[in-house]
Amino acid sequence: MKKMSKTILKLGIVLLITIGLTIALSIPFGLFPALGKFLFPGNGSVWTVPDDVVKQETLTTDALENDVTIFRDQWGVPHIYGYSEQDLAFALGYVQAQDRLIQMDLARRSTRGKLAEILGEDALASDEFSLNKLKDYWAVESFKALQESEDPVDQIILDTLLSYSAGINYYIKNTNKLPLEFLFLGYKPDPWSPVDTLSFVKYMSEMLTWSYQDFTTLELFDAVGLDIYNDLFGYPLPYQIPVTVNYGEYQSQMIPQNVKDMKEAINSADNQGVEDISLIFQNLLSNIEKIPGEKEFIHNSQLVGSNNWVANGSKTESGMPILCNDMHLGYNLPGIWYEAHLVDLSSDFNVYGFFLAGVPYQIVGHNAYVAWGMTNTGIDVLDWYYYKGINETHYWYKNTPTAYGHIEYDINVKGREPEHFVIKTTVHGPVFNNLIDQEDYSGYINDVIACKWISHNTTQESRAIYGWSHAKNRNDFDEASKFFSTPAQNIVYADIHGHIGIRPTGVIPIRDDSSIPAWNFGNGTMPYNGTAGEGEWIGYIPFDNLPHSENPLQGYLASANQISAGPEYLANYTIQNPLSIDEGYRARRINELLANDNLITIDDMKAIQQDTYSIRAGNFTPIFVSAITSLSSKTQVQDDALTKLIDWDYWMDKDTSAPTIFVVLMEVYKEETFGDELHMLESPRMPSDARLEYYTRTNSTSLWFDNINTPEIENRDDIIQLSFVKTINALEDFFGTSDVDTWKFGDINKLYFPHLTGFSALSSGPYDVSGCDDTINVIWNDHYWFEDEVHISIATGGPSERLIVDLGNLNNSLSVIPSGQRGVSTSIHYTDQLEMFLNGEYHPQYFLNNKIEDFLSSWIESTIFMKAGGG
Amino acid sequence: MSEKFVMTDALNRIQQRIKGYYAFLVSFILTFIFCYFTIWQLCILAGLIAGFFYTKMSKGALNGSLGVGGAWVLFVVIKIASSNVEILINQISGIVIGTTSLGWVFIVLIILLGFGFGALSGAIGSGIRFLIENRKKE
Repeated sequence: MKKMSKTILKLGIVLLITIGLTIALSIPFGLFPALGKFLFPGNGSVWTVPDDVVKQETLTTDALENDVTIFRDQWGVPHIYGYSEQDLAFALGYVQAQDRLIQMDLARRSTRGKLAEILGEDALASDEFSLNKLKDYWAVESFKALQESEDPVDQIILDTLLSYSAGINYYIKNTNKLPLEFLFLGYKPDPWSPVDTLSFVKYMSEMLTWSYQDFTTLELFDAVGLDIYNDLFGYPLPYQIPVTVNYGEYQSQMIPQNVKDMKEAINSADNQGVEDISLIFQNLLSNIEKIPGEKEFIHNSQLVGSNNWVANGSKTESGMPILCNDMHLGYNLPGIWYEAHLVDLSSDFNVYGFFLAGVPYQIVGHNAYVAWGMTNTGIDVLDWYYYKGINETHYWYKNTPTAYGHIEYDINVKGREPEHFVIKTTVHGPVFNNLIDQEDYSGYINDVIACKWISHNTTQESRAIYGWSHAKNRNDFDEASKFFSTPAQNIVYADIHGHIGIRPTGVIPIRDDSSIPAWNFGNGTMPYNGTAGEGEWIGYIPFDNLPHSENPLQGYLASANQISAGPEYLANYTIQNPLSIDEGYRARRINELLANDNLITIDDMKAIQQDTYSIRAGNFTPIFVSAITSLSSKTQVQDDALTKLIDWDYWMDKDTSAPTIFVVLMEVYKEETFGDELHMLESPRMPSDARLEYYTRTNSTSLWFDNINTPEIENRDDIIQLSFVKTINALEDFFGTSDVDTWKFGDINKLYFPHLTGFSALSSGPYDVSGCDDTINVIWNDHYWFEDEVHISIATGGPSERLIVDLGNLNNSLSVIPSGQRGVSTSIHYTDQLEMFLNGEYHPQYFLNNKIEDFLSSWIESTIFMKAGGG
Repeated sequence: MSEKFVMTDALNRIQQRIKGYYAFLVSFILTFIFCYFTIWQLCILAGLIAGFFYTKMSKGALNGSLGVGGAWVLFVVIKIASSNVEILINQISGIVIGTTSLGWVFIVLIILLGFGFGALSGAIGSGIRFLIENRKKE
């Protein structure tokens, strides 16, 4: 009996420990999943996470009409051979899901407001804001329009979207191995739908055109007044070389002179009437800033940019065009682009390009006839409106009480009941202040804010890209481009017939600015009074009236987010907000290099894409050197630093120290030049470096160089000398040594590739890098100087792909992405191309091997045989 | 001591040893099979079954521990040899404790927990058997 009691006691203790441990390991802790399921051997744990695809895979499905063969090459890029475009789409969906499922799923959730479903209440505000932008609403409407369309091309696109979705869903249904991120977040992906794919168009449009620039312009105007705005921020912009070349030369002497009297200008910066509106928008912005992801839209003073250019046969060694493109975007692992090669063996459809994972059409690339690349135009396609509200249900519009429209959602939230969410809409678009504490708006006359965005429409971009993929000449390409609405892009073009061209392409609204107040610059650059009916969109610029250049005499065309066209075009249309136009240094350098070379080769194009020569440094440094040389006395470290600048060739090389001195000196110089006036006025922006270059080169006694806080009148050289002394002292403090040789640029100029979940263990970098934000090989550097100290810039953006297309021999075409094909963190293709990218390497595309038997076995890393039939 | 007693004792010992092998083998094989199921808690069942071979909790614990822990060791070794899972475990180590060089600690912990769960469940199994058998005697 005693032994029995002892055993019962022991058994009880062991049972308690076992149950306790089991429960502890079976429940999630905050962000961490249940550790038992996550870590212990078992299906669905880390031990069954996929890494690389198997060498050979065969599947059979009745979703295919004919067999499809997929070869993955040494970089994991799929080359897909089939007998119909629908079958190719199915296969593409399957391989994209194999490689990028988590990225695809998080992107659609983010775009369609479904993050709270997996992340819980913390993501609810983000979902609500995303839904409020109406991306999901218009993606759904776009799908309905496609279903209802009787146009045969629309039906082909619909079939393609359905096949593509079926390919993704085949993978989701049949895989029992999900990537680590799914295990960590503890969910399984829902089936894919064509709406998910269409929502990606809205996602790209948001990334490239969603903007709070109207608020910035208003705030800027409110802060500095018209004279200073014109002097420092307005048109005309200095040193621009327009994207299109046939609308007159853009003259830098068009810059207005300095404001006559700085004090008078500052005093006149009192803009009654604007203040009320400016304040309400500032309130709105301060609240929007709290929404994850929106802060970047608010504070990105630089346009999301890119480079593309093309040289025709008169400039190339081969006598045929070469087209290049590197689109600059924020970095993530996995990277945004997915390379693929699709071959329809029953027709001459053969395309290679960069796809979004989640979309069956390549955004840039080429077929066997034409090639194209894109850069962002910065064209203003989003306007903000303010209204006088009446009550919860009505607002004033053109003297009429007008009822709000309503769009309703039930947002699934992990761990609780769904949230019912109502979006109010005005005649223009969704209302935004319903998301925000209404107390912030009490007392304002205009207390309702809404926006109208070009993306608030059904999308036909798929049809445009479908047309580009099938184009055989410029005419075909242009016809397709008419369907491209947003995001407006400078589309560079070349074909095997020798034609080159460029056209800022997109649907650009024409506003009715006939009744706007004197302070509003119009053209959608500032918020409109919606109640008064200001700024109505009364039409769109006809496609044929968009600026464009075809086969120019100069033999080349280039865009790098600079001004779209010259004065003859601008006399009729102003399509860009001056704050959204790039400073122009990259465009100047690309034009310079292409103009000076008449035997351009692929290697030359590689060198241009990786060029880190700084035009900015080349133009400022000699003036800096001249002013610093005349400093009355210099310390040894100042002398050494000056020598570095004198001996410098203006390449932003990570292993040298002159770029370090230059980038910090530039920032200090700009701060010392404009900071005294603009900080006092609480300006939200500083002028561009190009504007500073203009004053530095043309007017050394500009009033901007005078420090208004001192009794003396300073000139340019005084400010350069002051800035130089400050710079050298700060660099000495930062590096802890006066040995200038050790001040390597790479020590303060770094590049980082964060994983899309933010997990640093799945991220890559930081890497020491050459280049900066004004070099062709761009680095989206942060500030090197703030709060009177030197800081390390850790950039997380730059070229998101590099593409070189040789229209003379498409097999010579090259590409690389700064990540890898496979988004699975243990795969050899997770970051293999990132290493190549950092080393300036490319990989071939194996494009002309458009028959299965032509694809050499030595190129094949793995194969998938998809058999058509009962699955 | 009679010859018969010596023989019986030897036979008992052999039977005990064979029972030990059975207990270990059954829990080892079951655990290994359960590694391909989605419910990790099934390893407790495997340990429990090993424990049923004994009425002494320490023996059940030993066999359960060896069966479950051994199967997990084999599973882990196979996975590490045939995939990049050690990279993944290092990445998890980076996510959880901020350094990617301590993945091996996670692997050791997982295996130790396997031995632990085997021991606990084996002990429970033999404890339950002891109680059932003693209740019958009573």
